[in-house]
Amino acid sequence: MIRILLNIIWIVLFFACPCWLHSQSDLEDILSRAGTNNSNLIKILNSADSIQTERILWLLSNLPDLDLLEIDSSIIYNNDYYSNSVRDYQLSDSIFLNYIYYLKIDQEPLSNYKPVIYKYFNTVCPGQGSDQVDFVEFINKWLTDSIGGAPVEFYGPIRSVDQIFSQRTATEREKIILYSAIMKTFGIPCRYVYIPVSTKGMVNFRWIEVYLDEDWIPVYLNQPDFTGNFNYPQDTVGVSIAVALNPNGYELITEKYTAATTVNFKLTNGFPHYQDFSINLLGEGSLRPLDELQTELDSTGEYSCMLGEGEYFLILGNRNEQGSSNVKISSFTVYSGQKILIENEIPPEIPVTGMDTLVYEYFLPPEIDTMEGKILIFRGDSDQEASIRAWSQIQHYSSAVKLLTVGGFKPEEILEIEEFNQIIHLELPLPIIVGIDDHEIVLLHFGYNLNYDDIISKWLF
Amino acid sequence: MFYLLIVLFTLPSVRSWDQTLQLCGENRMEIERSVSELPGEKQEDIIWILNRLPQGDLTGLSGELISHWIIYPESAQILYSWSQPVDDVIWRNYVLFPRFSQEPLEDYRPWFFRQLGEIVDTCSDLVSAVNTIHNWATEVVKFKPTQRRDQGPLETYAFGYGRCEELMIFNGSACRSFGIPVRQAFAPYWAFTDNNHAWTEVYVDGKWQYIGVSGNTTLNQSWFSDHTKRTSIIVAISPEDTFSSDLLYTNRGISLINSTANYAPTASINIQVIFDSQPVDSATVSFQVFNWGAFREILRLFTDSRGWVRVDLGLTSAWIIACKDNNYGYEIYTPSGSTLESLTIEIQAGLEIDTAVLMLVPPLKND
Repeated sequence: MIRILLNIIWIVLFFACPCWLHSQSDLEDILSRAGTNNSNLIKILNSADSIQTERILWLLSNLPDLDLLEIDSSIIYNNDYYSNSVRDYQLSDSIFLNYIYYLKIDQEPLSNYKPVIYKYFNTVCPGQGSDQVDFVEFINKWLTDSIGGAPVEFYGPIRSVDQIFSQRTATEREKIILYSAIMKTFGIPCRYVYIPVSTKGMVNFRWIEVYLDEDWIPVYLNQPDFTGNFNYPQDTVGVSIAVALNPNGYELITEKYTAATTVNFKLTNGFPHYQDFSINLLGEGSLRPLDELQTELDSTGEYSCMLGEGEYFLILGNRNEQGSSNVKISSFTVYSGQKILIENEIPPEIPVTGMDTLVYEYFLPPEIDTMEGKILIFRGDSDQEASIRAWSQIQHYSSAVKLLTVGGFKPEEILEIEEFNQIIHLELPLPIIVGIDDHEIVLLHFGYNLNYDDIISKWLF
Repeated sequence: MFYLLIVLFTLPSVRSWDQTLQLCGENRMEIERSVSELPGEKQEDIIWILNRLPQGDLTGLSGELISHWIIYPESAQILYSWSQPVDDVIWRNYVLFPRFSQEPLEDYRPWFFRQLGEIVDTCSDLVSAVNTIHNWATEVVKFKPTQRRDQGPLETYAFGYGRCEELMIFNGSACRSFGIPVRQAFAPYWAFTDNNHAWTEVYVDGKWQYIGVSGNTTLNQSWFSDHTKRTSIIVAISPEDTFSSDLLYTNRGISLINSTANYAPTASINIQVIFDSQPVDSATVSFQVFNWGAFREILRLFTDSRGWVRVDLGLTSAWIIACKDNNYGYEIYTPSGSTLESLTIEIQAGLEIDTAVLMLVPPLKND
């Protein structure tokens, strides 16, 4: 029955919404991610008109699985209704969808907040232009006056917008969520911005940006006088990087808030296999990596990023097959307006000595012997966490190498590789990874002990 | 897990009962009525729990849910011959307390009783019951990476999957429903490879023992058994277990317990932080290991009035960084074979670092 309904929805979509349309597999993906809530979502999609369906599907496809499980028809319909009621049609579809229609702000559970908030603030509802600026400042002041502070708790999730609004208390993070929810409810595009570690050592300095007159404008909670002031984060905490959240993740907007400098890194010795490095700051008692920079060398061994003025630390590490690491830490200073090239030599691997001798035996089936090129064999148990974790690290190599997988077996069994109808004896704990090059086994690793991605990268490239 | 380490140092003090009631909002009458209907000693237990729950829980709690925290584990103690009596501290912290982490609060105890009541009735002893519950759990929910927000146990069941922390919550919730003391344990970051892991520890025969939350697992045997012998620290969490001998500290409504010695040999590390040759009081001392290309924090302690901290760590290297008033210093701990190690960290203004260090882990064993 569900299959029939899916096909009906798909056919309706195909003729009604050609512009951005999801494939049927996308629709099936949404419904499978929704767990036991999928039948409710089908009902909702069946009762929506074609234009609504297009928007609703966009929303659902961008929500995390847990929200798909919890979302109900009232949240979906009210979000659609209120978002369109307040829509300024001068806004692009992208801004509208990402920063108004997408009702989630951070990691909070979804709630049906738009009717409640709309009703409460309707009397001060903004029109366009200067009214919106006034509203942005009014809500900032209202938040300061009406929402009490709350401590960060270890137990329990971040509260939903409904809970924060009704309980009238919030942590700093929850205040950002509530403020953003109010903006979205009244058609003002809004996004959450933060500095993960500032150059003066503060962790998680947060604010909001609202989209007014085709530009993103900063709003600092409890600091209404600094609305629109792009220098405030630099003057108060020092900007390393600035990160703006969006439904698909985040984007870096550092140069809006400081005279950011492009820093080029060139890492030698071991290139291009090497990936494990990070850019760090001292903050609140420890070295803290700027993970949002997603440090990764390109094919020439280089990486570049924009950083604000300050003292940073480059950390490079090289882990050997036993897991011990050789790590280099070096300070560097970023000055604005200067070209910066950081060249560093990757530390050599620690030689592995004293490793226990591993006892195993293997032979190559003749069919593998006749194959040219590199072959990677992965053997795991689909029910075993270690295998799943290892598989997630290596599956993307299927485009670069012939990747054969064999699953569902136990250690110490003699196994048959279906594609070759031959056997390999491997009496080792799962998962097992075998690399074959020029008819020789040149890579053999087992168990969840290693960084498989790094090891295979080194072997292949 | 990383979130945990950040949160721990900004936690509020434990509330008084009056402060808790003020946070209940319109739900206050329901809470007061529910508590008043309980016998005296159970009132104490429930107030102790409510004083440690977040405001988001208090405004939606029903009397029925509160009663389930008590009724189901107590019933299990009567119904099942394999049950073992435990003292009040263990019972409060690790059975009655309904939460593990940042998951939503759900009325999971009746559900687990319905699912598992008959199955565990066939068990002959507590070990068998623990293994049975975990085997059932690993059949009905599988490991799969999920979103950052934690799923509750009923949500994890609805999906049929969860990441390790969510599986820990699922398995742990099942155990507590049957009166089996259980707590979360985790390696904040592994020292020998990238990533981290969480699992459950159960209180059996008067001691804490571990069991995995996915794949083939039995008491003290899981796919990560070898890894626990090669890690810096394994931490367990309770709401307020001030009587644990391995307590790292209890503060602000949560206890961090060092469970490393339950898994691997450890060395006792004594560190003194000094500035201008004088000991530094209340300096932060952050212990870090190399993971995902950076030093990641596995533990944070504060020096005493003589500038000292002490901790038992596994036999792996650790990067230790100390800080007070924006003055920083660092040292590397590398196991020497001694069970007692001493380090001094001198903090200074404007720390610059240009060094290379070997971060060693115990060798891989092929046993």
